[in-house]
Amino acid sequence: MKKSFKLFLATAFLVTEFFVIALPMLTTSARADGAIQAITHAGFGGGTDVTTRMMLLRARRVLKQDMQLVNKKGGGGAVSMDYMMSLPADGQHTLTWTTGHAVSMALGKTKVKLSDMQPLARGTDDPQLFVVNCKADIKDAKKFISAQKSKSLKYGTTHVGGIDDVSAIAFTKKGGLKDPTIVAYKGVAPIKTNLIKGDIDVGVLNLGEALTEINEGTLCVSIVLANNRMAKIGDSPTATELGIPVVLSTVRGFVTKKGAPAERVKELEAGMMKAMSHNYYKNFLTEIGLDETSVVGADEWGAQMEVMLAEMTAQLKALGYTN
Amino acid sequence: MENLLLMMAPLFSSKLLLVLFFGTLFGLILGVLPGLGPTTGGALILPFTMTLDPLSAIVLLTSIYCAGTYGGAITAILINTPGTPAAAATCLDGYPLAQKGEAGRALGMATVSSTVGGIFSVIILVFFAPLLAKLAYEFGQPEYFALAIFGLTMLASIGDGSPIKNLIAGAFGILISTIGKDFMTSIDRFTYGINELSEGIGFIPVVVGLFAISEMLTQSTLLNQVFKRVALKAVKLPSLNDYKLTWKTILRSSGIGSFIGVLPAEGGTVASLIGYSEAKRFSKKPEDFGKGSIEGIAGAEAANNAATGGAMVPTLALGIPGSATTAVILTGLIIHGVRPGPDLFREQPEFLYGIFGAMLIANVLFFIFGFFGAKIFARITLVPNKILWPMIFAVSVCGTYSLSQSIIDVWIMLLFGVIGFFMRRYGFSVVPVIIGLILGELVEGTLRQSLVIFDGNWLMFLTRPIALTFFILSLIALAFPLLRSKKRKKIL
Repeated sequence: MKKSFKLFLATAFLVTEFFVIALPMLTTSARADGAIQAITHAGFGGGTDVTTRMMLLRARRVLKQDMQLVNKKGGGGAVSMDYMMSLPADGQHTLTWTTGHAVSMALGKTKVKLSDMQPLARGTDDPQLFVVNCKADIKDAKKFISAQKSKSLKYGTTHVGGIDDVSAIAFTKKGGLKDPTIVAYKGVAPIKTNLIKGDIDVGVLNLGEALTEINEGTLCVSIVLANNRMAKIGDSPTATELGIPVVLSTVRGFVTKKGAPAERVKELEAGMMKAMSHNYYKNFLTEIGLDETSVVGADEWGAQMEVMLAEMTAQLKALGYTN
Repeated sequence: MENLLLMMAPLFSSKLLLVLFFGTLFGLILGVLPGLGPTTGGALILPFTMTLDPLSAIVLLTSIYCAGTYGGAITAILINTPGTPAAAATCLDGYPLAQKGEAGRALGMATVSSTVGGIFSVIILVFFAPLLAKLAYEFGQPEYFALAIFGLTMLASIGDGSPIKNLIAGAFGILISTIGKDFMTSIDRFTYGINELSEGIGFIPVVVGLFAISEMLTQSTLLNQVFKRVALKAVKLPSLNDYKLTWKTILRSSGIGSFIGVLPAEGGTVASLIGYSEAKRFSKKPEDFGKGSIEGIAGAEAANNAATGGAMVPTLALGIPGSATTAVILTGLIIHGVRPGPDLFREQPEFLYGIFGAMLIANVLFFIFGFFGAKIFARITLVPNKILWPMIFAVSVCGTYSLSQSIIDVWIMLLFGVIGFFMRRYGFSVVPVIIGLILGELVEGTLRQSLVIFDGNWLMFLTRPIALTFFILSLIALAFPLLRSKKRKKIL
């Protein structure tokens, strides 16, 4: 082997060693400087990512501590939960916990349990909607139900084994309607395009995801899966009003590892609540079609987490995703 | 008028101008460095764009693309080594002209023709991309499936491998695209219980591994290679006589390059070869080609830079990459939450026209840089490989890790670096792997979605005119490698 080639390999090896071994150490040491890790499982620019960043905007100032967004993708949130459990219970981190994490736990993708997590605050509570083409007859909720009594409607959902198809199936089962045909997509944009083109009948979406088209009058909300009607779409009835009591929403909130000092937990909760009462966050909620009732404290949020996990476990079991 | 104002937006934003300046300079340096080029450069800088807003990020990538494509001509002319594959045809006449002591004239012609070709293609982009975008809601899942099939048929003719090897590499890319949770059944595939793989294999570790790391390994076998350099006294504008001789060639090649760029999965390499061969066919002195013909340089360079704007048409309007570098730009759009496709024109015109304007300015900027900096850029090739490549390696590792703060991504990048090294060694192009990785997921997903929409009836595909058109185009495209090999034989 030529000398220069050996030298080259040696240099490359040393550089590799430095970066592969030292990078995690460097990032850890940076965090040890006093920054709070805000762990998410979501891709950049998605709902969870944006919600977390909007909370961080003011929380940094309120808590008088820097906060770093740490992205741990994989396993539908399982990797992010496992990562949080690898950290000390010192209240120096938060995890954005979502409906997706509930699904991941229900499917047994992680050993982490709800009792391992300390709820802090809820950031968004976004009801599930059945969105249709405004030109379709089924934009009228009663016609929607009667149509599905005679034929299976095609529902566009984001992935399967999540809140979207659970919403469609729970609604049809409780309403005694024909089973839905699920067309799964990787994102919401093709669901909207396919709805407008007429390839599918219903899109299972959140309000913020279809607000542009709803405002334009291209897409209409037929049914809302919430306890109460939503202010922005007050004409659209809830499923409960129609005699089908299904209430499901995409939820995002914050937790830390159980065992953190009680004072620190209170400090984090109070800090987040204050940060999310700021106009920045309120405007963000308005932009996505929600209001300040989305934000609640640790007690209410913790209770909702338990209900969500129980509901998702039951629904996924009924659908055959888990034993 | 409104669109024109949107195009001019980058001129009035100091941040975007700075991004453009940096991107053009970086792209030029990458283009000059043999083996690097805009594709590798774009892949390297991709993770760092996450600190930018989406428009700045894509402006950075597109300016690297425009300038990098031109930069390849500098080393092609000076040391007979194309900085990028697209500059390969430039070597044929650029280096002989430089050997005659007219390196300045050769570089000057390369700069002017690249700029004209680039600007021409942006104009094509502005006019044709919105026309394609009008098909917005005509594109359902069956149409995307047919389009992706059309893209895959181009696998045979992309890159520098043989058609069969390209198809094998493309199939490998498609196989990789199946790793992760299947979004239609929620079942993990090929993840072997590793939760980090459930999201699938990311584009960036694969792209950086296949281009940068495999090139580093390839370069490690060429450490003692000595490049013969020629004197470069000055970079000067071509004479009036040169313009008279080449203006038709530049315009013709600009048209050819723009057209070939528009075809999904084609790009500057093929465009420059065809632009060069057509310049020779129409020349009054075809016997001068290969001996330092100024028309040969103009023909190749106008075509490869014209392909940049052309390749952005299917990338932005349909979400299908028009070349290897636009595959990286497409990744950039996706990771910034921008869904390329017809909707983009309706939903974010300010974003799109900002990109068009930035491309226009990038072409002017690299013209300025090219004239005043070519002499300096050429000196980068003198940096010893044993210093240069470990530095590139360090940037690759940092960039890949920083995206998801995942050490697994770094290992994936290294693994694909080794795979890419052996692929190149045995005559496979790595570009089809990337195309397969991107289009594989689209093909599988849209086929299955279409079948659910059609209630399992395959014949329903034939009731969709756009899908049917793409299926016919796919059949025609399958015959393209045969035509190209005939064209190549003629050139050589």
